[in-house]
Amino acid sequence: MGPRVITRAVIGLLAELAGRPEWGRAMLAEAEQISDPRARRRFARGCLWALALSVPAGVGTLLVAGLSSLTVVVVALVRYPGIVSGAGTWVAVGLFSIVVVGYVTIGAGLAARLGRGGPTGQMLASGAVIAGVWMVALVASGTPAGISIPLLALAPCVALILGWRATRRSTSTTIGLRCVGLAALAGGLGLFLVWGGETVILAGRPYDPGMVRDFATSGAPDLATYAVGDSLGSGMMLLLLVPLVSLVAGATGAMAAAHWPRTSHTDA
Amino acid sequence: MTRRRAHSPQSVKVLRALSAQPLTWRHGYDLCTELDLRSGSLYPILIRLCDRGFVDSMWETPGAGRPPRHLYRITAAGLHEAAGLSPMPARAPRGQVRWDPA
Repeated sequence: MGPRVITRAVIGLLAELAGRPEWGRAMLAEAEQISDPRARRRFARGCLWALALSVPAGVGTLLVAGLSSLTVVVVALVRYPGIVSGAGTWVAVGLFSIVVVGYVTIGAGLAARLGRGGPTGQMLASGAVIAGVWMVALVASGTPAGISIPLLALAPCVALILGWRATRRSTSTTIGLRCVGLAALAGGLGLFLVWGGETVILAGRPYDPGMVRDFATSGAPDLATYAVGDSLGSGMMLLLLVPLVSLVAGATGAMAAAHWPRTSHTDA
Repeated sequence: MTRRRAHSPQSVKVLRALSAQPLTWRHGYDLCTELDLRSGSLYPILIRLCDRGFVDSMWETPGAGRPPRHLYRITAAGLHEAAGLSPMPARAPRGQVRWDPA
């Protein structure tokens, strides 16, 4: 895959993210007409710059979260090459990349449909809250306090309330579902980013007795490699689980809000 | 009441160039070379002018083996806007001092 193909793909993607797909096609068609390779490269660079600056802040946040998530995995693979245990690892990394790109693309589409000046920022913040509740619940599950179950139950409740509120405030189930979808995807990406980032920074610590026991039969070169691989695998599962649970709970809230009768106030 | 944003000097250049030939459809790269603007500057201006209804865009009919290109032309509103711009300040050539007799 040459740089020209990559540039074309990036211009196309940025144009989609900026909500200007037609302009992206116009720039690509224009670049195709330029015969001098240097002038064409300069023209394409300018187009990339223009589109990157046109990407709305909310979409940019999603894009940064997605790229950071991919970076976390790349850093883990470079620092702990022993994670790669065969073709299965590369399949998992490939699927993970597809999921991340899919989340960013779908999230950008939802943000575009909510419109500039819409509740995109609030939904990204809601996604951060969803990720935060999950993170606290998962951290608490490692302690004997026994508060992780109520906290895990709280996570879908946040999405449910979000779906309810978004639908009631917008008086549209479609908008409510879009809001829930965006928050759910942002929550999944946010949680993976924190989870994966912490895993790489702390080399998979803390090592619990169960992990030390499993490491003995894992064939991994060292405990840190085993812990990082194991933790990133869990993070990838959470990347699928958190948006799915949030989406189901949020959609339930949105549907309930749509069917719940509104109280009307009449003047005496 | 909405406030009108003033045009940047580059936007003014684009509006002037398009209003000089109001019936002609222009290509983006041609405007870049004619106005000595980078594509990173020209396209945001064209997008903004199109959004504000000052410039019209269309796809040219596909040619043999080449993808169709986007074409741009000034609208009536754009001509009106260009007419309201302050006249182009006369610039002395580089290195030459202008002498204004009192």
